[in-house]
Amino acid sequence: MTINTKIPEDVEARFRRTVEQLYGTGGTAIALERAIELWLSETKYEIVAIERKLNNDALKRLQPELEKQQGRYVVIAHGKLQGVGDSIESLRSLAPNAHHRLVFKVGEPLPRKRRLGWRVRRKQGDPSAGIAKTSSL
Amino acid sequence: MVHSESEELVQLDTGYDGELLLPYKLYQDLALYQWEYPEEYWSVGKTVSGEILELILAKGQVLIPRWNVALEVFIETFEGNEELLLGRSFIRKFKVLLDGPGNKVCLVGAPCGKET
Repeated sequence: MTINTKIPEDVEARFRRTVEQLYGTGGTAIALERAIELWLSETKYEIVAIERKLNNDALKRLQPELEKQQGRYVVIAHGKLQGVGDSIESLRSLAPNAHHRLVFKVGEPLPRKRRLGWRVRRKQGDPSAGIAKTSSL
Repeated sequence: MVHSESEELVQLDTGYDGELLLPYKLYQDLALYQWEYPEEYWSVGKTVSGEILELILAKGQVLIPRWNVALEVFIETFEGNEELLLGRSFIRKFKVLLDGPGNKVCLVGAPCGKET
């Protein structure tokens, strides 16, 4: 892969200096490969979040179609209905490249409230945890 | 407690009325977001201190190695959760013996010493 791009001079200077110290001459490729791997792992769950929204939005559009599938399992991935089956196992191979999938039994009655017991609490210093969307439930 | 490396000891919390609560990181590491239920099915959980948390929901399997049993269960988590718990809905599938002197919980019918 060949990439031509401009980065700020001070960043480039620090990058070249650190590569030289760590890997010596010719270490740029090693450093860039590590940087790309790190970026891919850091952004993995951002992609999941994007696809989660895509699939949940798709579900709203698909509701009339899914009404005919009461009691059966369905898979929604890439924003589309991927398949319907009588067991969760039968849907295992659908949309294998999706980062996020909705796999569920249509119309399954589930509790809306939970008691979480004595041990569970929000992690200290994590204001983002939890409640974000409860107002819509 | 003595258990093999292929097994995971899980705490039973009778105050939790779900089946299985996973640490958020484990939920991500197991890629359970590829088996997720829609947001409209997610529950709202309340802690004993009154905190309200939205619980991400997926379906998965719990393996009990010594019984060679796989159980389909609902799995819940929330961002920041670090607890791994079995709840009341899970043990509803079994007869359970609380062995106080032995400091363990036994699923009745399992070999002696089967902890959950």
